[in-house]
Amino acid sequence: MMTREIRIIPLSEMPAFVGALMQGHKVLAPTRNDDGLCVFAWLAAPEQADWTCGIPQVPPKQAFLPRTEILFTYHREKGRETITPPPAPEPQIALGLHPCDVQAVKVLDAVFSAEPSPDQPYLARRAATTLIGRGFTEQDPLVFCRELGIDPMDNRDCDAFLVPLAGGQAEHTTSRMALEILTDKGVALRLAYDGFPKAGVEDLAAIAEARKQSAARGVPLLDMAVIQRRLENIFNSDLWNRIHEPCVGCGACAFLCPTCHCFDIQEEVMGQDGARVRVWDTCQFDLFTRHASGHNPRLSQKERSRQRIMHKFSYGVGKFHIPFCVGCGRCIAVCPAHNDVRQILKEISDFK
Amino acid sequence: METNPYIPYPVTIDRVVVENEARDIKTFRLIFHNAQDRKGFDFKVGQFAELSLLGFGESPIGIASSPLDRDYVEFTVKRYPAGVVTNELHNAELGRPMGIRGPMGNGYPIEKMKGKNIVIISGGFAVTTLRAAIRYLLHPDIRSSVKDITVIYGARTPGELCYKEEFTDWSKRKDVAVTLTVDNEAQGWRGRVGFVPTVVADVKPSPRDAICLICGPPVMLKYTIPELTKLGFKPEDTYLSFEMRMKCGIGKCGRCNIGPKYVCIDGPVFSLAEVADMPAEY
Ligand SMILES: Cc1cc2nc3c(=O)[nH]c(=O)nc-3n(C[C@H](O)[C@H](O)[C@H](O)COP(=O)(O)OP(=O)(O)OC[C@H]3O[C@@H](n4cnc5c(N)ncnc54)[C@H](O)[C@@H]3O)c2cc1C
Ligand code: SF4
Ligand code: SF4
Ligand code: FES
Repeated sequence: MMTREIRIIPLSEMPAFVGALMQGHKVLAPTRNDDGLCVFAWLAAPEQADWTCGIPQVPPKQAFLPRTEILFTYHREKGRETITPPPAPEPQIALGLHPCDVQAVKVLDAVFSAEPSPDQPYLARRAATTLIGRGFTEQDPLVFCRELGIDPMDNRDCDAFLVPLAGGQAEHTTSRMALEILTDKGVALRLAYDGFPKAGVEDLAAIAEARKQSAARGVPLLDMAVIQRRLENIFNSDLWNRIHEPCVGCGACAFLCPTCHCFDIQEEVMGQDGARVRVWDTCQFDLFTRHASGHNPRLSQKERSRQRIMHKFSYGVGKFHIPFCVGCGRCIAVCPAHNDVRQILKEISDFK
Repeated sequence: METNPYIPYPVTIDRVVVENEARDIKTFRLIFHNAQDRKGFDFKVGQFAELSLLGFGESPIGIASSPLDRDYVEFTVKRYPAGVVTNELHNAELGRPMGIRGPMGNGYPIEKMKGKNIVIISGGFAVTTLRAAIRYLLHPDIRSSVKDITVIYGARTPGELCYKEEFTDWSKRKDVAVTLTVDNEAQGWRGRVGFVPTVVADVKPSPRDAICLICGPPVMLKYTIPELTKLGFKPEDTYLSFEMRMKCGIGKCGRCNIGPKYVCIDGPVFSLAEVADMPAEY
């Protein structure tokens, strides 16, 4: 992607920059909640954006697929009903996304723009969003996006991208951010970044060096084609008997996955008024597939665990040519049963 | 910009027919508030729609009327004791406003059926979209586009046969061979007695140049499909319609898949050849 321009923002000035972004935009960014846990959340004040966060436990998908989203509201009287579509989404910024979270947005884009019925509520939110990615140098032991071919310094598919740069030669802590402006949507943020200096020769060298070092850390790639082919043949194998065994079916792995997007549609009624809303749902729950007759094609946790893996690494790839996993490691961090998707992938690869 | 696919067309309940003695199956005739919406709701036989009741929710229901019934659409709905939407629908009065989203799904292979003999087999109230197919195929403008039409339809008791008047009328016609059957002898019943698979083996519809459409409860399918295979029906020419719990109906909410196939957009109609490639998770 052609970089339009690069500005340098001292870390101490980031609140000023974020504050300027908040003029005219809602801003979703990594922040710490009351328990000190990093999560993506809508900022109430610029200082809440936290640049020490690694991968926030709550993913940024809520920017495009809110936990509860009004599809339309309605009013009912005897013999008469009126439906009102929701207001158009406000301009918003998803700030500080790790490149794997950006890749996850590409997964959501693929699903929600697919014919025969593109998902207008999703696409409207997506169109109203400016994506500002953020490069990472530090390594989180649970993150395996590199094994999926994602470079944590890659700015692709972003409107703008922050490259953290260290201060002097001896320092390793981030002292400033290089803001790369990549698209028209990025340029539209000019008012927020215009006050910051353009990158100088040294800055450009530091950015290039950061990218070079990141690229040099390449790891052996997971062979997704092999995994996909294996999965086609092991639907009925006893591998699944082991994989689901520790699982308690809590659904946390799916709720916190940046690519998981399954939803339920429900009614919220207040007297004569109401709303039809969509809410996050998960294939890990029994009710997800239970028919009104009581019949359930995915009767036990075995079928549900299998569905999650099959959807991510077989069905998704077959249909959209992109795995529904970006290696963010959230599901590994959060699983009360210590299920590890990397281990599961290994077992699938090794399965004879 | 695309339109919001979750907003239903406004319709009104214009007619309700109780279909069975148990009174838990009713046919609803719906009229579109805006005539152009009916044009926009351009469907093929075998497709379905989400029926929307504000305050209660939505249910995917097969379209039971023919595309050539241009002024209305009909749906035949079974009430489940704890079912939120089906109960409210069964309690609805004439003139009640409601909504409809669709049409959805692939429908029966109408193009492929042209010039062929058509065999239609059904049991119980799963007959809904096949009733649409029969109405469509018997339309004067359409009838000559296919060759012989054979229909076998069964229910537990005479009182559980849906669309009774229509089937009685069709039984009298020369351009369609209708066999009606019930599970056990019943007073006043002059049709056949026996389960659908047995009757299929008896009637022996010819597989020559034929497309077979079959809908029914799982046990009926389980025992009828082997009979069809024995008669020589090819898996790629035998079609059935699947049911899975649904919400969006448009391939987004992620709950209706059987393996890689989404029943709401890739189905609900699949050939037995396609079914053979699917995992048995339905
Ligand atoms: C393609 C298709 C065609 C169908 N055609 C007919 C038909 O012609 N006549 C008929 O009576 N029934 C039909 N069904 C089944 C019908 O959709 C369910 O019986 C109905 O949704 C139950 O709704 P409920 O609110 O009363 O039940 P609840 O148990 O309260 O269900 C809540 C919601 O879950 C979903 N749901 C529950 N069970 C099913 C199910 N079996 N299939 C799909 N969604 C479900 C619906 O969104 C429903 O509103 C069809 C289902 C599918 C998938
Ligand atoms: S987080 Fe772990 S225990 Fe919970 S549903 Fe996922 S795999 Fe099962
Ligand atoms: S499956 Fe796990 S590692 Fe993969 S994207 Fe989802 S949460 Fe991240
Ligand atoms: S019903 Fe939502 S994906 Fe099929």
